[in-house]
Amino acid sequence: MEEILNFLIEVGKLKKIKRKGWVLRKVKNPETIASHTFRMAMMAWLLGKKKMLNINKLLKIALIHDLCEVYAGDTTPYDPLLKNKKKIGEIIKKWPRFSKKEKEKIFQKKYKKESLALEKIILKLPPSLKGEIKHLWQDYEKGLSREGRFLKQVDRVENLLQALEYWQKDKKFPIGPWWVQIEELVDDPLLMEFIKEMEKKFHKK
Amino acid sequence: MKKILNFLVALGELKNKKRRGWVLHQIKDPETTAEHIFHLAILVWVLGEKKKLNVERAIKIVLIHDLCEVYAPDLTPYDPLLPKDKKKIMEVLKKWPQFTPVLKVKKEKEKSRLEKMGMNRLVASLPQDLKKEIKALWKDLEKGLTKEARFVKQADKVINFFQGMSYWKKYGKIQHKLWIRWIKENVDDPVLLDFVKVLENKFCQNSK
Repeated sequence: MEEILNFLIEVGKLKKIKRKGWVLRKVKNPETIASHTFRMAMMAWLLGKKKMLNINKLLKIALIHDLCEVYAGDTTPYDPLLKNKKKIGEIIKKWPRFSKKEKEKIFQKKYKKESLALEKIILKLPPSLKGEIKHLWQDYEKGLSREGRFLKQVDRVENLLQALEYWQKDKKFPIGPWWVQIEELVDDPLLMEFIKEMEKKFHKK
Repeated sequence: MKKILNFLVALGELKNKKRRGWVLHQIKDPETTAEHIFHLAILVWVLGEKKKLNVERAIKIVLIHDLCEVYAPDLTPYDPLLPKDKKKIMEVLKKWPQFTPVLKVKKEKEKSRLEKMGMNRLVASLPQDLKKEIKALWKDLEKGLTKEARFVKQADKVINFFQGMSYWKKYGKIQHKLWIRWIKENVDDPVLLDFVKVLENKFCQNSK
């Protein structure tokens, strides 16, 4: 029982970690990773039901998909470019592009770091639970099942929804690049339909 | 699709809603309802496996258990007793007020009525099947119809106690001894009681 308590103490840290994308954009009182996880789980449930996916698996993957950030931190693809703090504003405006090779490299590095962080956080859990969480995380990262692949895209859609909500408040950051990115990342027909609704709602087309 | 989007936008409010129990205790930067839900979901999953519960059902109940707060006020048991003057609130909380049985029933009824209204309003425009599912889960929780619901109901108290102990360690301000007594009087699930014991050891070892 003590190892479960310690696990919950560590996991509870996600209630304090603010999502980096918003911090960089100077959003006031931005959401934490725990808050994002909550709405992502709801989104996966409601939309996953329409797709007849395994909801048990969907909910569990949603709950653990960011656990590694307790130790690995919230990384964005732009971190290497952000070392020069003065340029952050400029970079966010431009939303730099990467080549396929660069993307692959960034992914590998991130995967390695996060996978070690996950190992650390689940290290002392009972073996069955540890195996389950590890497997679910790999499923998510590598898109091994329909559920894993769906969630990877739901993660981006929840993020876009939050971006639109923050953007609508004071328009302090440009929203254009989000739309370019989402079109590249999402190909699930149901999610694409959902994104169209979002566009209607927030851009009043 | 539009209905689901509006629903998800509405419940996004819970990301910003600070839990009122902590606000009353003047805890700095307290957890939000969404954060609380996340933490509870993990607790229920991990301990629910041990109890061989239907974890999917249990997690779903957790996800919806505070949805009514989008529209209903986040009530604490003390609301009827709290003075308007903020400074005096802490004085009242220090005593961990107790209620007469009559008052207790009355305030629970009122809370349940407001929450039901909030819930109905929130799910009103969802597609039929989702509305039905969420309402059934909510009713289950309210009435404790299944093992899963009864477990979540108690786990909710335990995670709150857990957060309370963490804040007490950090800020004081919380009547931890009275809370330890209270939790033992209000939780009877053996696995959760075990967990409470471990918690107590961890947080209160040197300060009993």
